[in-house]
Amino acid sequence: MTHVVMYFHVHQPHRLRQYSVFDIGNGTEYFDKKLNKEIFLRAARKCYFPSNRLLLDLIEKYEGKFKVSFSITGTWIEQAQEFEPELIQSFQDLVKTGHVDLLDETYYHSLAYLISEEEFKEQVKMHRKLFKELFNYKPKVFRNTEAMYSNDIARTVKDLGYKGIVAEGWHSYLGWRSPNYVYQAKGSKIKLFLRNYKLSDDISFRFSTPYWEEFPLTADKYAAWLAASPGEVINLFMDYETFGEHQWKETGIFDFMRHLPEHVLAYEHLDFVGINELIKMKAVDEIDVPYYSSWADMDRDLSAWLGNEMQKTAFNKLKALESYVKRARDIKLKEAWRRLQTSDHIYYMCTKWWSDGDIHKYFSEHVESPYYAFMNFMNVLQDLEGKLMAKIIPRESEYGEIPTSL
Amino acid sequence: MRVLILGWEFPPYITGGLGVYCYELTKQLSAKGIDVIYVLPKRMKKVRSDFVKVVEVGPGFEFGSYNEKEAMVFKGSIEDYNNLLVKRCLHESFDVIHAQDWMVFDAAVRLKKITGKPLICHAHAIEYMRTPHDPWSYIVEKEKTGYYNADLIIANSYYMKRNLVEKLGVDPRKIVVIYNAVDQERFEQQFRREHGLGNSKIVLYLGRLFVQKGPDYFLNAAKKVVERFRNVKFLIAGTGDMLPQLIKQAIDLGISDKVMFLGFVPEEEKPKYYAISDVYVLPSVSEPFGITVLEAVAAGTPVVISKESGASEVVRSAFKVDFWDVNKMAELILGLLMYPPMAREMSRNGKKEIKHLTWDKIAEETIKAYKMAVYG
Repeated sequence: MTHVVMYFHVHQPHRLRQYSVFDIGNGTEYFDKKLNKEIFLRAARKCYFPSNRLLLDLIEKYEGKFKVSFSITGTWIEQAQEFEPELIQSFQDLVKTGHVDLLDETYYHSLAYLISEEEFKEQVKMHRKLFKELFNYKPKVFRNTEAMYSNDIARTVKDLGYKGIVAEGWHSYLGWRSPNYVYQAKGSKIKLFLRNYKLSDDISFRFSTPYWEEFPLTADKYAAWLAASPGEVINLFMDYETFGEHQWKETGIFDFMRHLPEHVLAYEHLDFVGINELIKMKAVDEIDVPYYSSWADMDRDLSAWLGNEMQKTAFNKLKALESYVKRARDIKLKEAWRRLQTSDHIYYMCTKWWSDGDIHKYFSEHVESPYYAFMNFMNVLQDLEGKLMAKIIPRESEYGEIPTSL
Repeated sequence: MRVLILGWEFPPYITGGLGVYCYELTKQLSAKGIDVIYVLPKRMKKVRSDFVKVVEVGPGFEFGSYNEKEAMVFKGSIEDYNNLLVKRCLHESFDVIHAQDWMVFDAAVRLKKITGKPLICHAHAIEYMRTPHDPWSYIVEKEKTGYYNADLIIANSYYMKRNLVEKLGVDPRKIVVIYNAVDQERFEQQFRREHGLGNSKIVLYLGRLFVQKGPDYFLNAAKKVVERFRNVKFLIAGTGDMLPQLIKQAIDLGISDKVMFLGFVPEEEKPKYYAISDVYVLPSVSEPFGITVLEAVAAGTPVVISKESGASEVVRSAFKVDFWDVNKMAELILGLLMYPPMAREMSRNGKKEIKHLTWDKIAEETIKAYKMAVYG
């Protein structure tokens, strides 16, 4: 039997408004509510509502033979609650069917692991709490932001109580091995679920590419590929926005999805499982990833976020504010700082246009250029730093502490 | 080996590129184990060097400029200097004579004849190139004397070599071309010193001062930048009918201490100005292309350019702004001044981007267009 796991990642960042240097210290809002609402409502209309409807239909139709898994970021939930609360209900309906597994992640879809282990754990706990409240659900599998992974991350996640973790099925650590098996992380007893990037990207990236030799991709052809894939599990992990946003309705993506279960289930050796099912499976081998990997770009490393000098500068500044945030003890400022950690902000500063340009461009349509993204972000950080200092100085001077500068 | 270099100037006394060239050359030569005797006219300021033997000749010269009015005085000083030069140098021993430009050619040729040592004449500029329509025959004669009698000629470019051959009838077989290195750092230090710039950031406008180039928008943006960032100077390189108006505008805006008008900058000097600048701004109201943008990007200087320019279609690693939006212009200039990592990133990417824009490629594309027109 080969299990097919369809896991969708649901996320929207709190995008920044155009924040000029002249705005620093003027009390201007950081986040662009109007823009965020506009983008969120568009995605809701084009993707979230129709996709949820479709998946619910399929789950009901196949009476438990069709299952999916989701991770949903805290920043997405916040915006849904504010702009389109019905969507929360819609996801709750899906979870109630019992055929949907949920994964935990960092609440802010952040690079918190690179900031500090403490910050990372706090954000994971925030997310856990959120899912408990909204779905009364306790995930067993963890997905770090953009599938960022290493042996150390696996160990930390294991310590938090998770049984499985998601990573990219990338050849640099797989070597000759296939992603279509369950593995174990090196150095900690946690199961590792590797994305089959080829088959995943066939849907999420190539589906509507006219110059692709397999264009157009039909459900029966795709099911045949799955059926012909050796191994015990096929992990199809992708952004949920693939349906209707990245691949427009006009491309036929919804029809593809509607017909996929019947074609897959026509093969006796194929079935759909939720990601939690994989925990029970035996790990065939151990995977050693002593460095950071991710599922982004052609490089599958951190270079989409920390690839250039601007990104490193911005991230280091963000990281350096951690001690200020702790000392300032201001809930609003802490929330702003955490929203700024959302990886998208730093992703917008990426200058690797030449190879991965199209994808970056898609995600940053509202950003004029990586330089604007950087300048905007830095201006906001300057303002935040000023506000934090204003909280710290009066308080700490009472105790005779002098704040050190960054 | 011991070289007798007959020069004209040496730091701290410098009027042009020749002094810089001689300083850098002699420094490198002595580092490579060549003995150098550097001879120059004695002037008011004392010249010193710890890596080369400097010999100052004469009672203290003031050459003045060689325009028609002062021609006789100038000529007299040159003759005096050359006579003293020969007398003084006969006390020195050397293996080769290296004469820097026409002012010392007379003495150089006489020294060659007396000592029998080989003579190298160095062509930095020739009179025909300086004043093509009205060359001063006195200088042309000196040049001919030097180049005809030289055993070897060093020209600073192939362009110079062609001029020596075509304008002066010099034998091309004895000309070698050695380019001058541009010592950017030196230039920058000197420029900063001479203009009292200290460690100020520099924002450059380079172009004619005409309405359609938008220099007035540049000044309005400068005013806004200065409000947020004090350690900055705005250079305006170029001349034009708006100059008096712009000077007045700078005063009215209260930023006259932040703006420097450099006047006309010759073509070959431009790269140096791009390179010393932290930001290049092209605020044109209308600009069919804007080649200066590519020049600045090639020099590694981040640019803030008007959307109303052809260049803005070509360069992606640049900030683009509506010429009238001085707030935005100021914001972008400020960003580049405040965040050096961004400036460096833009500079690196810009250089990469314009690599494909060579004249060779442009010729190829033009040929393609011809073919399309002819063959359809």
